[in-house]
Amino acid sequence: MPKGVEKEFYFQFKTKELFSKLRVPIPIPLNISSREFVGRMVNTHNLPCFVEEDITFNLDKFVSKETATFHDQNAQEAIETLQKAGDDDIGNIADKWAKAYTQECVAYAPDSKPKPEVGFAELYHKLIHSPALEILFRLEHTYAVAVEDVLIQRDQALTKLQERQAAQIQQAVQNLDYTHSDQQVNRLAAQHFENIQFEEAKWDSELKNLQDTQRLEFRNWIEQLRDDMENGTEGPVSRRIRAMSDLVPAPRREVVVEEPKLEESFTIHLGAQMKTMHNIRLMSVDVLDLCKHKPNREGGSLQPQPQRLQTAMSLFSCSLSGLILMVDDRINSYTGIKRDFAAVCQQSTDFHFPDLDTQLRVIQQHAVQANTVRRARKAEKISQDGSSNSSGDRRSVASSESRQSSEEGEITSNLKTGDFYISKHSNLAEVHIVFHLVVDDILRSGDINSRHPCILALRNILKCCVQFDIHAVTLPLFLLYEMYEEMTIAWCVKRAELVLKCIKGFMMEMAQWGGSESRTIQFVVPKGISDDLFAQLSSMLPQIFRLSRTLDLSQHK
Amino acid sequence: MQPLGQADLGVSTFYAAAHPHDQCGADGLPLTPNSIRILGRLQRLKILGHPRLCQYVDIVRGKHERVMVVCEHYKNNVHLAAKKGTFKHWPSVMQLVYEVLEGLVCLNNHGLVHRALSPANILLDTEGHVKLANHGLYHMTEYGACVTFPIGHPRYMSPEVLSSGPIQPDDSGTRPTMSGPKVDIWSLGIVVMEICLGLELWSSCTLPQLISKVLLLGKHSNGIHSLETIFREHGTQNKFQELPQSLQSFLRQCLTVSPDKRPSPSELLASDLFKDYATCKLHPKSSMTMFQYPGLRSEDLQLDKYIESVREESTEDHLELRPIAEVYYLWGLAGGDLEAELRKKGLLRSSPPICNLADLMTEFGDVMGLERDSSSLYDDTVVTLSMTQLRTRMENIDDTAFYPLLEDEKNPINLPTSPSSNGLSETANLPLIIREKDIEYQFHRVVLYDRLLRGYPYTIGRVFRESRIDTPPLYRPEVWAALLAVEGDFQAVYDSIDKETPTPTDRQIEVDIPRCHQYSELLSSPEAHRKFKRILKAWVVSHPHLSYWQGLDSLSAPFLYLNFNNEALAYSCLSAFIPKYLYKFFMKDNSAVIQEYLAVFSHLIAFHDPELSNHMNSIGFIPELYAIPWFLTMFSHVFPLHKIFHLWDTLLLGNSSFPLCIGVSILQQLRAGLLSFGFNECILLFSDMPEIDIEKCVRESIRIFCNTPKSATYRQHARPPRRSDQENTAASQIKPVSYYSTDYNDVPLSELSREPLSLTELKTEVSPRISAEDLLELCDLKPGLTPGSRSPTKKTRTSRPLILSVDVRSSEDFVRGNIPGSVNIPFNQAFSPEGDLVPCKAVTLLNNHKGRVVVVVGNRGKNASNFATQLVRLGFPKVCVMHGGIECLRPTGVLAVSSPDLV
Repeated sequence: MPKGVEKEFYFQFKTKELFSKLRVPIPIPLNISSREFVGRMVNTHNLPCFVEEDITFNLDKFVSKETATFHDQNAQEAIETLQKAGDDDIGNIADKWAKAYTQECVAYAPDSKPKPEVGFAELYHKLIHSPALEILFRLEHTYAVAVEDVLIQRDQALTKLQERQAAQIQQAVQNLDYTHSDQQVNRLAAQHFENIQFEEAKWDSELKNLQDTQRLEFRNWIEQLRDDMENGTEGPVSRRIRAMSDLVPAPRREVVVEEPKLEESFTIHLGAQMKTMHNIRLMSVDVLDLCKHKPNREGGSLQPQPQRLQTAMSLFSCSLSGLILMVDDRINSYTGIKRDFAAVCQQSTDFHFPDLDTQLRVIQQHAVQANTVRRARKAEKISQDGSSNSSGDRRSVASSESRQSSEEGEITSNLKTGDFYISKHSNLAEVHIVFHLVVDDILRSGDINSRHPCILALRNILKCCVQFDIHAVTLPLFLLYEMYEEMTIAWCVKRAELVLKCIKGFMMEMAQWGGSESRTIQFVVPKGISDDLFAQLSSMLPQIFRLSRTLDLSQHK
Repeated sequence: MQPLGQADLGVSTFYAAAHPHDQCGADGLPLTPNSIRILGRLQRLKILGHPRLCQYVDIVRGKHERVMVVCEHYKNNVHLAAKKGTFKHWPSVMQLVYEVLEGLVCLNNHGLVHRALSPANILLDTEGHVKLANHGLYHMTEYGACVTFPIGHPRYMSPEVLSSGPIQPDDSGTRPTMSGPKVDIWSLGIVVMEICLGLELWSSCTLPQLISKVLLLGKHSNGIHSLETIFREHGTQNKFQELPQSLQSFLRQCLTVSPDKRPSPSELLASDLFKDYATCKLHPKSSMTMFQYPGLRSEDLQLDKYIESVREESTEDHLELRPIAEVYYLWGLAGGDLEAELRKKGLLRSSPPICNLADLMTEFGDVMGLERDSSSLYDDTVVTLSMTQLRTRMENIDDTAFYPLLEDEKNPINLPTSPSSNGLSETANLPLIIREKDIEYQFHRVVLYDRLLRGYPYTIGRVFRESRIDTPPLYRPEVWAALLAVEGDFQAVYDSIDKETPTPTDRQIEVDIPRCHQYSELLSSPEAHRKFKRILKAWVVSHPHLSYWQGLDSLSAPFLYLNFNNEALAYSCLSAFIPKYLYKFFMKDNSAVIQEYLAVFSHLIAFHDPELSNHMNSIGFIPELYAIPWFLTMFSHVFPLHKIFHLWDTLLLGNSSFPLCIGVSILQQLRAGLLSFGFNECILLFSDMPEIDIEKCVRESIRIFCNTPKSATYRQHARPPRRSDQENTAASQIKPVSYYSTDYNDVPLSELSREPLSLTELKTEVSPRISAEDLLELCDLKPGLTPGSRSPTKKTRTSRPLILSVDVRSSEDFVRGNIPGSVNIPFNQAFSPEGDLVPCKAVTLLNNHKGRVVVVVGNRGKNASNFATQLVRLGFPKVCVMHGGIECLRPTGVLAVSSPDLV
């Protein structure tokens, strides 16, 4: 269907003896008023003012007639295609419409029941914003302690086993060639390994059972608590939970004295005319400390950590907090920081989301899908390049690339640098959402620029934050959580500058994406960093970001 | 705007379609979010006032591309009424049809089609008259391109609409073409058919079957008329025959498949079928605006007979007579919240964000594991806004407050003193931001301004006076236009300007617009960009002696924002504003004008804050480095719109030198920082204007203005005095009620006035010059021959003079004739080698006087201004130099001979 046509408007008028004719092409539909169009004609053709009225009237009539014809023609064409269409085509069109209606309109959509998790989530959210908060907290704590017990037992058992095995091996090695042969030692070692694995698996399954039971129980408690809280006062359920939590023995582990962490906060303004306010924090801390949940008892009564309380209360709200974790390209929890993080996740039961392993399994499936899409896109791109550039050497490049991609073989769940996957948690201290950002070793070299996939991924993550109401994000300022020897002061300053400037740019973009709310960005630097370097970094912030003007009350009368 | 009447306000909501990840437009800029496109396109629907259409009132963007549309609403509609059997009698059906057609014709005349007509969309007001609803959805969504859901109801859609299939979201490159007006006739035909037959067509079919049925009607249209097919399918031939002939023929015409043969709404309305029906009354009757006034506006006014008992009996609801937009404005102030209303009805139920999170995102932005939230589906429910809160808040307002008397002499400054509003005069003293949120206060202001504006231009003096208190946001567009003395048929003027033909400035305009106040939802919409371009082009084309400078875009932004639906008014305001405040600023070579302006600005800084002036001069941070965008755009480049509104509310009351005072007051707010900063930090500070408390800034600039002798801001390039014969009616009505509105340049010149200085002279001097007239005025020496008073200060005779004149001539000259009350400090003996003042009796007097105005008087030479420079260096505030030297005072006869022992 044409978007518009051009029709010739014809007008004639007489001045004294002179007979003037005017032919003007008019775009139909005319998107300005005919009065205005006449104004243009009068200007360009120098028409006398007395014809203005007349010409406007005629043009008006002409435009409305032609517009009607234009619409009629379009409609007529549509009807004609319909008349030519076979019954199959008609069925096809009807199905498309039906699909559009059923997928997009409530009135035609099949009744969709809200997901059960959502119902539970809403219930929990309601309870935690009610006087039941304390009870809930006690309940969670009771369960956490139970898990902790198992973990301690596991650690003890494993240590004991390891010690015993070490002694055996040592004895065996000492008496090598006397009582034990090489083979026997090897066999012993293999057996020990097996034992350890067996023991670990045993504990794991025990833990898993415990957590499954806890999860079920927790749900029951919550449901009961709802009825309990209905009349506003504490009922029998609350009392039972309270009693249960009082039975919990005092913690056996020593309370770790929290070291003072290096931390500095800034309030900044972004935007030229309209300003939005955000918070920026620079902190030197072990990133997993932000996840570790440290219940503490003071003087016998339970003292919830304020951050933990905040995290629980905002879990199902529209103000989430996220953390960026730098991982390698394999989706699992076997090595490095992935393993440490998994251990932290295991410290207590996640009552709302599946455990990390389950979440990762689902993500792996999606990763395969994503890689399929990626490969399809690449193939498409290559074929496009091939068709658009017919010159000889280009084609050879393209064909070699396509060969390469076809050689890749089976699609794996391994990700590429710059991809990230997301896990959600309800049992971490200050974080709800973890972005696992896939990075490579190039990050350790000094020369990455703002087009590096990791930097672009940060942009994607911030975009994700806007989309899903994540208002606080924590990320490593150096894009690394540990210090390596190549990280000189110059290296650190350069990297910090790059990351800060890029983040500033992305934050400005956020307003366009629809996130004008105030946000908090926390930059983490490794724990072992020197005070000097920290001071240097924190002095960079006011230079890159515009700090909000402090209100000097002494100036006011 | 129509009065509220018995209508409700309704809100409906939907999601605009999200753009794919990181897609860019043809211009390389990121795509405008669809919700913003919709927001821009809805605006013109707001001025579509017709008795057969529901009035659109507002559109609000929620989070994540949600759009909420507020519209006039009625609970009754044809669907419900038909069930109740309202349309048993054929005449009532014909009346219904007639009224729907009236509404459709109005839409067509504005280039719109309904495209979603259905029985549920034909609302019925309390008297049973038709009000079409949801008629804007097709237009505002760019014919369906901005949303994912299809527009219209399958049962009522015409075959030609269905034939092309739903809009595919993936081929977003091509925008759908608009349907013609005849699609609505088909829909109307089906609606009427259902009413007549008393059944729902194809009610037993599934959705795909139903659509196929309509499509098949189209396919087989050459054979039998679709009416027959429908009868055969439903077995209702007999029922049809019972209908009156007129209805039969109407239905036959409507359900013609071929669009060529199907009549359009206007054709139907003009046909014989409806020749006996009376057209509805339009409101207001004429399209005349408040700015055009040929003849008597109150010609048709009929006064009711005054009956003593009327007041007691009256149970009239006064709120019903207020315009819908006003009621909505008050509803918002009374704490109305659209999202809360929707949530109350369960329409915004969405699952917590953490439950909807995606699993995985690749480097290219492919997202995996994202589930569609069922709350994002389209729901056409309209939620009626609850008026209870508004009515409770307005309970205490006296009936008379709805009709304030403007000519009541007993109570000239309008603040009602009725018992209910005894707090109002207190409210008037609260900060502006609080006043703007106070419903009762705003109600009184709005009612008052509504009345005042109707009396424009007669009431202009009163508008000026009221605006000094504040301007209600609702009527700001009209008030500003009134303050700028806009009048006449500006629409015709604007229409006659060619805004379409390409010109060389187009490129620059197109580059600037996407950078101008784009945080504003309204101004970042494509619709706004189009209007922006037209207004700017119109200005450039019609001011050939001036040229487009960057900054003109910012300058026009506030006017466009306020008059979004009235480009012509926005344009007239802009073209009245520029000569008033920015005379000659937009010349091809404007350097002389700007340099002079900035020189006067630095004089003003030195006059009011010598310390700051000394510091900024010492680090070389001159106004050229920071203040050009301030003045060239009248601060509209450096502040967000909501601050510009408050700033300009006052700016428009002041004369052309008021902006200089605003500049000084901004510096005052940043004073502490500036004094401690070096050059680089200062540059950095102003590269991105820090937050400024605008109300304080306005207050401060008024104070500065009042403390500045008028002639101190004399500029040679200022606008020459207007000749009285050029003045228009509105401007001539402006009486110089305040010194704000009169301009120094508007007053006739005399030999005591200031005269031009060369730019270099102006730049070398540090302190401003004042005219001899001002000096005489300030010294309270008014000789008989001085023409009219110009001084801003209302003098009260005090024992201590307000100013001190320092005569720097030699003592011999001083003795021969001096200004009474002046002290003599001869320039050549005044300063020690260290640069301090040599102590003497006169200097003690000067020091005691510090803080008040010091006028340095000398001969025609440079001594006086050099002396003033030294005083500023020593930190003396309010130092100025009398222009023209003592000689020019001789003819006035004020000079006195004093005995030397006085010195």
